[in-house]
Amino acid sequence: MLKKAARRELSTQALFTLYRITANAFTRQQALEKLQRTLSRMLEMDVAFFLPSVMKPERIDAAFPTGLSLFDNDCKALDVCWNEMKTTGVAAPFNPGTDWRFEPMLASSGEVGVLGVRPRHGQSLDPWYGRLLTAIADQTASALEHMELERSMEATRIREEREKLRSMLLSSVSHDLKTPLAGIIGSLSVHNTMGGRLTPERRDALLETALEEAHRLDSFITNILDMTRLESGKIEFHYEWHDVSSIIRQVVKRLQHRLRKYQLVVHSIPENIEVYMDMVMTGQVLQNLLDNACKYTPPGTAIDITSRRNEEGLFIDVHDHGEGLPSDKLAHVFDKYARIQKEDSQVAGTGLGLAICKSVMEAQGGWITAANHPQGGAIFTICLPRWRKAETVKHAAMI
Amino acid sequence: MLRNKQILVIDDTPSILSFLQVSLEVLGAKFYKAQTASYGLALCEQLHPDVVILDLGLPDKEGLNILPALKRIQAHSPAHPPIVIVLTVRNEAKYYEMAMDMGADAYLTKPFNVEELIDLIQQKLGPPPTGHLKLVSNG
Repeated sequence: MLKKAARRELSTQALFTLYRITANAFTRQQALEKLQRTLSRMLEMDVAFFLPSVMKPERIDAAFPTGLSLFDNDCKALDVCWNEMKTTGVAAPFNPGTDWRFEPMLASSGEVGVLGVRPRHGQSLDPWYGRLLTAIADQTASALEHMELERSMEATRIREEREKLRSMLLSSVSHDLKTPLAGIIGSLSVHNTMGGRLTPERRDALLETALEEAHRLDSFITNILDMTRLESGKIEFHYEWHDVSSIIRQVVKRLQHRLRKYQLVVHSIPENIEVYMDMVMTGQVLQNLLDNACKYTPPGTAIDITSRRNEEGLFIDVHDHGEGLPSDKLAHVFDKYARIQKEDSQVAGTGLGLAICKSVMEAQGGWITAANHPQGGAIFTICLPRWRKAETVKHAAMI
Repeated sequence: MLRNKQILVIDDTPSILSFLQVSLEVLGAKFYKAQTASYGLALCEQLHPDVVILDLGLPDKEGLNILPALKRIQAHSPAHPPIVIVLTVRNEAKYYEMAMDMGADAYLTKPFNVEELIDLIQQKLGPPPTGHLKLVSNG
């Protein structure tokens, strides 16, 4: 039997430990696991926590330690404790012959679970122990309740954030889809209703505008679909060795309509260098980068494409001569919907282009970076890790 | 029609400006354009146009921010402010209510048919003045 002073110390220590553990735990599970171990040691008894089953709240099961086996009598005492919220077992009015003692854990919002202890070495559970166990059960219950409350507040906050993002995304996407559509519908409606009063040049210009806007709409939709597929892992990459210069030529050709307003300079693109990549997806990345350069820089300025290589990989730089990227945005340019904050902006775009570039480059084992060039303008660099000289390979194949 | 009416379009989308210019000029209006809110406001103060067509998401500031100032500009005698028609992709009720509270005369969402906008402009401008006809009958 513990002396009075020792008892007081044990009680203070147990409750303090309980407070400390629950205050520092991140999850209910973590808190209970630690409490179970610490209290077992401190009280020199077997300690267990029982929690209601999530699916069947009327059933209660051993939560910590897991896999605890109870006899029928133990279960009977446990069930009564849980269902009637009263102390059962050793030294309690209801004891169907178990060597466990069960204390209900009750918090202000309702029942939380059951604390079970099994005295060892013939310890007797006198009223003092009874009071201590009740205090432990109560405090544990209110700590768990508190954690649950915080968890649900956190979940609500996350849900609200997600909801906000979703609605911002929706309004951004609808803006980006409707702006080119407005150009198409408007131009065609003028052509239709007033065409007879217009010069042939003006009529052609209306059709040309409608066509350009339709292309823009197509590229938005492609981006949205690409991002969705990339995120759900539905895009399969087809890797092969491809010539670097040919991919650059292809992309430039595809964008020639937009690029004709810029001075495109392609520097030192090596012939006979092959890179291991998915040609279509990498082409899409380069296209997005060039598209961005056109979007964000004034017509007439230069756009430089440069390539270099070292043991790290093959690099392609796309360097525009616009205002560059705002320094506070540099770190976030590849975030999905980075442009989302600007609900309607002068530059149409879903803000997905760069996020797609990043996903595609990383999926290929490469990467992409953005920076401001010391001489002005933004510079985007992609790196593909595997390259080889085409001739060497041909030569090797001959041997 | 819109003969000699001065119409200022404040919008930053080139394709919108381009087909509005074509259609308004064909109907005899004088077309002016601004691609930023600040330039639009300055141009309005200088021109005293009959109608301002205002986009909401402008590159420099929110279109709603200049709406009250546009409506304070008095022109002609008797003095009246320009008719302001908001033209935007935003179709949420809150923007409509804010714009109307701030004095917008009409609110049209993009995309739109050009006839819708022209009908709206004509409706807001009211019937053409009949002074000339009266003079004839008196004579």
